[in-house]
Amino acid sequence: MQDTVCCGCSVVCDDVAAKVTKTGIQSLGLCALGHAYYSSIRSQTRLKKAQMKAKSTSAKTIPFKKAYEEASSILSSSQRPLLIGWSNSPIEVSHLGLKLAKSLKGVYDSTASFEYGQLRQHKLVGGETGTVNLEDIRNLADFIVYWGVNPAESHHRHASRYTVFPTGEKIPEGRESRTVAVLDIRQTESMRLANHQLILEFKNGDEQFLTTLLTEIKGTTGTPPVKVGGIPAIEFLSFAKQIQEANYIAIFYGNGLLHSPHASKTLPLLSKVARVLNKKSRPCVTLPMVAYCNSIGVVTASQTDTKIPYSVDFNRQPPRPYKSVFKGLIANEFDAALIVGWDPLSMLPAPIARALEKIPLITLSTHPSLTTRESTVVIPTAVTGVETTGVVYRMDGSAVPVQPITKPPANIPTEVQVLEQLASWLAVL
Amino acid sequence: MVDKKLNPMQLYKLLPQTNCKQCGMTCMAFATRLALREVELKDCPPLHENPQYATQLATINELITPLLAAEETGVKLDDTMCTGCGNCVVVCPVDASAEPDTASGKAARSTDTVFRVENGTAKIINLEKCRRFPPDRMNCRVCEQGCYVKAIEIW
Repeated sequence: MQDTVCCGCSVVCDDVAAKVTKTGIQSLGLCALGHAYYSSIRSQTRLKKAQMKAKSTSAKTIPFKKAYEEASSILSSSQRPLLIGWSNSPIEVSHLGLKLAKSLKGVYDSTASFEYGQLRQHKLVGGETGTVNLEDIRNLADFIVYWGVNPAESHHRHASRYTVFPTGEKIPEGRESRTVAVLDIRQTESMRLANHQLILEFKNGDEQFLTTLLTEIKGTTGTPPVKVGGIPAIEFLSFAKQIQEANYIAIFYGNGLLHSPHASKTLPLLSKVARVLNKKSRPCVTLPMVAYCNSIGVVTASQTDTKIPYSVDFNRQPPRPYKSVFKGLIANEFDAALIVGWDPLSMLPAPIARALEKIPLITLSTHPSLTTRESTVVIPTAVTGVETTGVVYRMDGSAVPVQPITKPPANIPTEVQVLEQLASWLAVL
Repeated sequence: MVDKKLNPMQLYKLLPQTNCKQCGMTCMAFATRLALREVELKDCPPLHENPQYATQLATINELITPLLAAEETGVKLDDTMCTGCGNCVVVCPVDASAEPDTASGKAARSTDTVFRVENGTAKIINLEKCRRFPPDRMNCRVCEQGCYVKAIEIW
C-alpha cells in the first residue's frame, strides 16, 4: 500500500495508505467518508467523456477538443461570467481560476463566501493571533468545545486524530486529560464523548448562552437565571467554571452556528468570549469546521493574488470585492458560469439555484450531479488527491501537498489542464 | 453451538480422566485451568499421543478455538454501523503499546494492534491481545465508551 493524503474532507488525513486493485480500493486508516472518496474513482457512473447539451434536450458525448471550443466560446461571448466552486480542488486550480476571471473580466467566487470567508471579519479564525495549528491543539488543548457541529457525521477522524482522544505534550492521558463540551440543538452522536452535553434552545439559545457566558467570564456579578439558552443554570455554571480553569481552550464551530439566523450576533459574541479568555491568560482558539479539503486554500489563493478573500469582481482594475453572488444571481447579473468541482444546484437555496440554472453552465466535475445534468458543457476531471497532484490547505490553514496514487482513466484531464486549455482557447478567440 | 463460556466439566468429560499427572495435576484441575486459559492443551500428552482420544481432541480443539475465545471476551464490532473514525484504535491501551503512534492519534498501520481501520471500517485483527483476555482479564471498556455510533458492544 502507498502512503497518501486524503482529500475527502477538511481534516486532510496524512497518515493513511491506499492501493488501487482490480476489484476496487484497499485502504488503511481511511474513515468511511475517505474510503468512499477513494472508491469513487472506480465508480460505474463516473464521467469519462465530455458532454454538451442544448436547452431541454438530452446531453450528447463530444470530443474534449470540441468541449474546450464550446466552453471558451460561451465564456468569451459572455459579458459577465461567474467563476465559482474551487474548494474541492488544489490551490493551483484557484490561482488559474483567478487568472481566467481576470482575463474574462468576470466575478470569481468560492464556497468560502458563505462558508468561511465572512469569519475573517469577526477575527474568528484562530482567535486574536490568526494562526492556529491542529497539532498544537492535540498537544496543548485541555478543553475542547464542539459548537453546532457533529464531527461524528461530518469529520469522522477529527476527534480521534487531533482533539478528544490523542495524547500530547501537555496531555499525558489523552481523553482523561481533556474536558469536552458539545453544544447543539439536539442530541448528537458526538455527545457520547462529552463531559458537558448541552442541548440549546432552538430559537436563540446560542445567543443567550454566549451573552451569559461572556458576563460570567468577565466576572460581572448578576442574578443567575434559572435557565440559560434552555440549559439549567447548574450545568451552565459548571461549564463556565471549567472553561475558565482550562489551560488551553479550542472551540470548533460549524454550520449550526454559522448558518443560524442569529449568526450576525453570535459570531462576534464568540469572538469576544475568546478574546476575554485570552486576556485572562487562558489561550483560546476558535476554528470553523469547514467542509471541503481546500476551503481555506481558496481564501489564501484569492488573498495572495488580489488581497480580497472571496467574491472578487474583475470588471474594473484594480479588482474589488463583489457585493454578493447570490444577490447577483437573483438579479440576473450573470450571463454564463464556470463551475469547478462543485454541485451548486443541489446545495444552494431553490431561488438561487433556479436563477443559476437559467444561464449557460460549464461544469468541471468528476461524477454526475444535478449541476452536470443541467449544464451546457460538462468536462470530466481527475479526482483531487487520488489522481492529481497539488497543495491543499486543511482546516487550520496548514498547506498539505498531495500526490496521486493512480492515473485517471480514459485520458481524463486534471482541472489544471482543463483551465490551461480554456485559457489558450480564449487567447485564440 | 457451544456455550459462550467454557465449562470445566464439559472439558473434563473429554479429557482422558486417567489422572496420569503428566501435566502436573489431576484431569479435573487441568480442565479447570484450561477453561481459564492458564494451561494449554498441548500440556496433556496422552490426549495427543493415544489415537483413541482423537475425536475428543478434535472436540476440545473446537471448543477452545480463538473464535470461541473471542466470544468469551464479549467484544463485538458491528462493521455495518462503523464509520471508521478510529476512536477505538486511539483509545485502546494495547494498541498504544503495540504501535505507540496510535496513542497520539495516528492510524494503526501494523498488524500488531487489536483494532485497525481497513477499507473505511474498523476491524478487530488481534482480539486475543485484548486486555479482557487472560491473563489480564480486565473489565476494560474504553473502546465501547469511545465509539460514536455504538458499533462496539461488550457484554
